[in-house]
Amino acid sequence: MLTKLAFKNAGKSVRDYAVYFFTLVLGVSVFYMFNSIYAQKDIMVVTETQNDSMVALCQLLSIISVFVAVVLGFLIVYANNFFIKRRKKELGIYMTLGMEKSKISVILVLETLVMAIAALLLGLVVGIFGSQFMSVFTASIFEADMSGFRFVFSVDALVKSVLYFAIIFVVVILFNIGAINRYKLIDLIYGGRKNEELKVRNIWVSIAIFCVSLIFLAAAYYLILKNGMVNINALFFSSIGLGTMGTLLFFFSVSGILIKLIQSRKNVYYKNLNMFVTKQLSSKINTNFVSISVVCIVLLLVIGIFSCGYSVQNSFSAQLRENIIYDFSLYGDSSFETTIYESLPEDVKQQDITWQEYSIYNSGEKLHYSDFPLDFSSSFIDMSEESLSIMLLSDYNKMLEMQQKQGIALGEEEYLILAPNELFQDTARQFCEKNISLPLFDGVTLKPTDNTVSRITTANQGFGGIYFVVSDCYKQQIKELSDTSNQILNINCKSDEQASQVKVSLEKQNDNNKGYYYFDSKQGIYENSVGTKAIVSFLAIYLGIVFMISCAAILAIQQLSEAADNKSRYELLHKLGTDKNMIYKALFKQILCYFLMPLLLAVVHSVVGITAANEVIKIFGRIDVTKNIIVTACVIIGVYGAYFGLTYMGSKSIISK
Amino acid sequence: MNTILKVQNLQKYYGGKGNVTKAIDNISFSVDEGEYIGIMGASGSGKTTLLNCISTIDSATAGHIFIDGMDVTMMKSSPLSKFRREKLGFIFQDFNLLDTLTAYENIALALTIIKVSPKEIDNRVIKVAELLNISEVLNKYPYQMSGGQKQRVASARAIVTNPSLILADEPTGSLDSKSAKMLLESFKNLNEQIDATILMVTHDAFTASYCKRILFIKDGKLFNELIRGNETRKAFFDRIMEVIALLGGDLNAD
Repeated sequence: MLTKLAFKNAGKSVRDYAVYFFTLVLGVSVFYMFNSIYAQKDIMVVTETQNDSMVALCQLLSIISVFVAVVLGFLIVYANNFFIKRRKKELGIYMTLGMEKSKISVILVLETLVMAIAALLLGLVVGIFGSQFMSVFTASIFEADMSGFRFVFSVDALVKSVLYFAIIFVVVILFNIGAINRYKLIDLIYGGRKNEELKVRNIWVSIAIFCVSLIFLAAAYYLILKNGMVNINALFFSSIGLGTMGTLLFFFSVSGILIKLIQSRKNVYYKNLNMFVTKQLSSKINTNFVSISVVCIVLLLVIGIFSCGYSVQNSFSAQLRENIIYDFSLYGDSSFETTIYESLPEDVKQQDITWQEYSIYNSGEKLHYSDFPLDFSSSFIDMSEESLSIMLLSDYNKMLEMQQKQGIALGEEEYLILAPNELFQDTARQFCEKNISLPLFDGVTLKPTDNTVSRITTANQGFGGIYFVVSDCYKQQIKELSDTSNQILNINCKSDEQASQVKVSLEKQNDNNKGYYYFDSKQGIYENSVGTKAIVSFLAIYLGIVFMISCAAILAIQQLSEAADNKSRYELLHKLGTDKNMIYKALFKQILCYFLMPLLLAVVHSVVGITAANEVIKIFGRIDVTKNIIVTACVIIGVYGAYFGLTYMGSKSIISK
Repeated sequence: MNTILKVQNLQKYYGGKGNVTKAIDNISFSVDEGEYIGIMGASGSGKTTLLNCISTIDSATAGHIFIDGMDVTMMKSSPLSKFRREKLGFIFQDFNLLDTLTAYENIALALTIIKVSPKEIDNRVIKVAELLNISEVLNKYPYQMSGGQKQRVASARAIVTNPSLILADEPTGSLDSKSAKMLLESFKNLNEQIDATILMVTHDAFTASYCKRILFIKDGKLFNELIRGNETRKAFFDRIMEVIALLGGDLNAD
């Protein structure tokens, strides 16, 4: 009998609380998909480095999965509590019929089990099929080729999903049993009658709080835009704090303002059910302003994670193609006895390669950046304590030659400024713009040769700095000036096979024979970057989707409970002769506004946030903003839209029953 | 005088094969414009079912109900809604005001759902509020009002659309005797001043004594009919009590 009751109830719940079930299924499937990534490698051709980064990614994902499970666990417990509250009367009837609390607990446990098993099975099926599609995406992120399509199934991910969700459901069951034991019969039977206390706030108080919230938000925006996201300091944290407070106060006061605003436009307010919708919505926002604020802030996180995560991974690949132009760069300095080239293994030297070795000198104690009228306030790095790096014209021209570019001529009293990296552009440009002369050598002052900053790549590792290219006639003087010099050797190979051979030889070379500290190769950097890219994008998508689900589910549950609480009100509207369509339209408007409000504020927040974060992303390279926004918007509209649809349909069926 | 409501051989059965409950068993009567008619009966007598059928919330098994010449038993769901909001006014026992709206807005709601222009709404709400003596509570929320005030706001909502027929289901059921008396006086005024046609279901003899005519229902059938004529309310009340005694027992039994 109990089992029958439980099965019937569970069946009913699936229909009534489609949102809850949908969340469970979605949670399980996303969980499975992201934990099955390692298994997807079976259908790809992966190199050793790619395999390594996949392993690293999977380890990271499995740690994150614990966090995700906790988030989903909270969400499921929250949703479950909501639905248990809805059933107080039913439970009360069981009790008045003389059923013991333990029996009722058994019913609830069985119900939860039936729901959980159904959700788990369905979620796994969706997840397993989803992971087939995902493997295509995984392959493209890792830039690996698909070796042929085969059905991928990960036992590991399966076991993990089942285990984690089993734990979550056990917690849910414990919560339910606890709830049953706490309830008193009188509360259960009359639970439905308790009215939500209606709070009507003074309009002037609302306006005042609203103004304060706007001031807070404006201050937060100002601080974050001024400070940027590079420096994590007191300003940064006060911006976050002000933003959070501002958001809370905003949702605390917005409903009062909203009502006044709509009321003042009689044509809108006294049209159809607008009056009813406005009041329903504002009382709901008033009661739930904390959770709406939380949803808003988490949505901001989602937008941030998605668009920045996607940007970073995109800029990684785009910039690499442009900036890594040497097959190898080897880095040493003047402390080695031989030059780098001399120390290379014989088989490398015998290869048909083009190479160039050059020195970068410095101005020693004679000159520092602080000796010039430079403004570092808008640049990323304050270089004032550093000495100047100097390169000879012949080395520079050789470099151009290696990159198949025309060499340049430079007068004896001229210098060329070279700054390959974006980070140093601002400072470098100031030398040209202010026409700064360098008193590097006695009796001569060097002037900038023209108004441009050269951006020729000097080595694979692009951070470099600023180099002053001067005529070779100062070679001797520079050597005397400079305390140490950096040696760099760039190598270009004729083919990829040759590059692989060189790489193997260099890796085998004994440390004692080396005339350099370390080297980097184009292939190595590519593969590493693919790994970084994959980690960033998978984390962004995983966390983004989980947060997104949580936000949408919370809003959906609140709206559904609203519909159930206000069933009698909708019934009254029906009795008064309101058109069904008019009621549905009102419901639609209400749910839409409820979903849109936190999203809109989050969008405003994120526009400011991304503008500030852009400065950070710029370090990694340029980004295609429109594409990111479209991708982010698609994901948000997809998940959010699905929940919106389910909520609308669920509410509709609740009120028309 | 126009006939507003005409009920012809109305039947309403519940249940199926072998187990039929006749909630309304062949009832016929008619109500003229400006009438104030009461329907009395014990609980289970079928009076609420009758009201639900007339108010188009429930459908009849057989027979016809004509309101303003239109047969509501033949209408489909969507024209029924339209009919309901345009021709009928409802007053419920438990007021059924929306507690998120002020008194003014509750009354205005009945107008917005029949798409009256916002300009006109203000005039009509203020006028009807004066009629029912609730002008001073218009800006209050239901929780700030007394039961009597709430029921008068609900009455205002019912008549503001100028319905052909006002249906009241135990309107005094949730009120204390003083508020009930005030409400009934208001109904009387509405009936006399604006010629509103009121059909009221009640089991309370005092409430019923305000009506001009009373139909008694027992076991789904018309049992008796009383017409007040020129009698005083007191005398009418005594006659009602006699019929109740005949009906066998206290109507307040539920």
